[in-house]
Amino acid sequence: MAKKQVTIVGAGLGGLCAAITARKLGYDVHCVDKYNRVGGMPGAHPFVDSTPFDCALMSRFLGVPIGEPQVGPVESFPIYVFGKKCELKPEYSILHNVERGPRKTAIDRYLHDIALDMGVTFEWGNPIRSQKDLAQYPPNTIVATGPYREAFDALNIPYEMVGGYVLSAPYKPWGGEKSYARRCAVYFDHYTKDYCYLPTANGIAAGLFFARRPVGEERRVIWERQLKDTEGMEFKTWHAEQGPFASRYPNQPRIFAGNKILAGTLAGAQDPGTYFGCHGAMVSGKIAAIALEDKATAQEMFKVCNRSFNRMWVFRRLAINYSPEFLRGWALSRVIRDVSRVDLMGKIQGAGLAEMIPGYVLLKRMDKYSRYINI
Amino acid sequence: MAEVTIVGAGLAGLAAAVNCAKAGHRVRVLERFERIGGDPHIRPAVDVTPMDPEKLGRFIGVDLKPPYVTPTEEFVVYVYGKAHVIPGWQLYLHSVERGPRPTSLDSLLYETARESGVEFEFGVSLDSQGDFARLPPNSIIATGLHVEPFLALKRPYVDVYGFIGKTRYEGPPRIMGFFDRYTKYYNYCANVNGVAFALAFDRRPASGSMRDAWDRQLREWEGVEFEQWLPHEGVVATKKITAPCLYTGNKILAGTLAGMQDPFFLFGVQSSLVSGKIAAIAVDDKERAWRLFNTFTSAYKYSWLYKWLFDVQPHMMRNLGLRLGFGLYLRQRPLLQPVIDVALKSLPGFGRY
Repeated sequence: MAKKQVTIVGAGLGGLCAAITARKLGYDVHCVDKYNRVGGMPGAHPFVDSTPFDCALMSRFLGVPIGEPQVGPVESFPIYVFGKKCELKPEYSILHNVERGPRKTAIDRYLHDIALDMGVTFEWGNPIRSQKDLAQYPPNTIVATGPYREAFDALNIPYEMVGGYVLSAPYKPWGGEKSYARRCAVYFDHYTKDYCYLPTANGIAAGLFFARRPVGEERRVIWERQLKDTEGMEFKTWHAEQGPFASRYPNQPRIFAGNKILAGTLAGAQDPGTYFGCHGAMVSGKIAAIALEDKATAQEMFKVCNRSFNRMWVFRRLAINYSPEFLRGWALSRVIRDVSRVDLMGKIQGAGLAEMIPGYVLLKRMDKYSRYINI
Repeated sequence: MAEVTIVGAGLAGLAAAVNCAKAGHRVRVLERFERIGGDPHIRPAVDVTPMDPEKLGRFIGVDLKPPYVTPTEEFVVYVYGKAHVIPGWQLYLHSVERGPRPTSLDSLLYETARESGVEFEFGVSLDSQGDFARLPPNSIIATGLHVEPFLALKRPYVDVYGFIGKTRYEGPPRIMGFFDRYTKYYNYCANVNGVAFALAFDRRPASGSMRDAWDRQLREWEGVEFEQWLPHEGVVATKKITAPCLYTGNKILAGTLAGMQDPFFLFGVQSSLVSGKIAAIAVDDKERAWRLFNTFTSAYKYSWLYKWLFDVQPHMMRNLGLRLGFGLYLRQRPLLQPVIDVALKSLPGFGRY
């Protein structure tokens, strides 16, 4: 019998989780990536992502221990709504900071090392540039190329461009006299309809300015000044980045396109409200590998994984995109202040956050699919 | 006299090649696989489709006779377990063998094309925007169920998942259709020229439990056994109500890619032949081809809507509707035959050439 082979395009979170699972299922795995080393965009990484996470469940789901230092709970979580500070109690939040990039303490590197030990072969510096490049890979190739336009175009997947600035820098613990290893400051303000945030982990601070329209220097400078005033952080360099996200339509998440299997950002395993993507990418990577064996089950899992996508999409359009500035400011400040004060509200917030993250519901119900979980 | 490039040596591509050659063009056919007859791992296959071989043969200029096109003797339809038996001629059903064997319809058209001086190039696959852009204008694209041309030419498509079984089987040509809980489409098993072929399809990835359930039914009810089931996937153009499309960019489409397929049962054989002929006409006379194409696909929208209505029904309603429909038809045939005749007009081209 011919040995089972699979090619995985993209060595990000989705691709690496797919590689590890496919290897466990007995495939010969070859992983191809655009850049010359693990960890994605050389300009912006190392980077820190903040995302709701449950290390225990995720470790069980992937069959790989996930935890500190790669992923750790946030210890301090201030939110600045139009200039007013609200400190959320971190114990009600399930937010974790995840380091991304090529360093030893980053999740990409960690998963890459595990995959390498399991016998996955990697090929660096081989980008997808055109439809032809993607068509050369056989059917049932797993494509997890993340926020780069080429694969979206090649597979005719609709997308919307999200742009902004990213930066990362070494940092000394900040936040006044108390210092936290993991902290995440979030800014909602006039300068963007989305948000800006500043997470830290493992001695790195990262800043991200999100917007759906191009962001000029002036708007970034306003945030920069605010950063300095409120958190005492200063960054020297900024990279303007933009990328496509699969949040154009409310029914967008799909695991199969063309004759390929999708994972991560390309599959739409990302919540369309706040663009939390790490969790969805890891879960959908595993699902993509399961699809190699059993497409029916994989599609069912993927549906559960992304079941709140359409609700979040509608909520996002109504509450954020189409609501006037003053209404958005008023609602945000009211809600966030209430959440920060009342314990019950905090718990609701935790539950709500979990529901909207792709994959969270699936992790709670993974016993149903134990055939593929315990491999 | 011009040179015409045709991509795909399926039914539509070959019918187009024969007709282009007859019109005096130099014809070059590019085919993805190394020989005629489509994807080797699912061949030989059997398709059953309503058609009028005499008229259709005259329209496309090829004599369609047994063993290439054989009248189907019996159509057995199992509606959620209850069998209805309909003689094949009442629905104009004909069985067609597909594949590389000399008794297949593909071979008939291939031989006819070769006699007319058509050149073939095998093992050439076009699968990206760049590849198609390099073809000359007025090339005919008839690549069937492969997804890459749909992506490259930006045609909307629907994935169809399923599995197939094939075995030796002697007997008069029959077809068994299965509507059941396991699929929202239908499954069928047909035989002709000593081969039996089974195809199950669904718009979601087909699960093993569906295969097992159907396998059991086939063994118990019909005594047909398939040793091996192979997964099979393809795409069809029935995504939108406006699917049929003759021209895209400066290319001419034919067959499945052109949406020449009835959206309800996905009957494609006779529509492919018709659309091959239309594509050949389009090389010389775009307006006439356009008019023909529009006439032939004018009932598509009704059929598509009907399919959509059928799809959203729960199984209970589908069961009730299908049983009523087939039951009434069997009891009141003289009364209902005109209705069937009208309904069959939804097959692109049926009875209009």
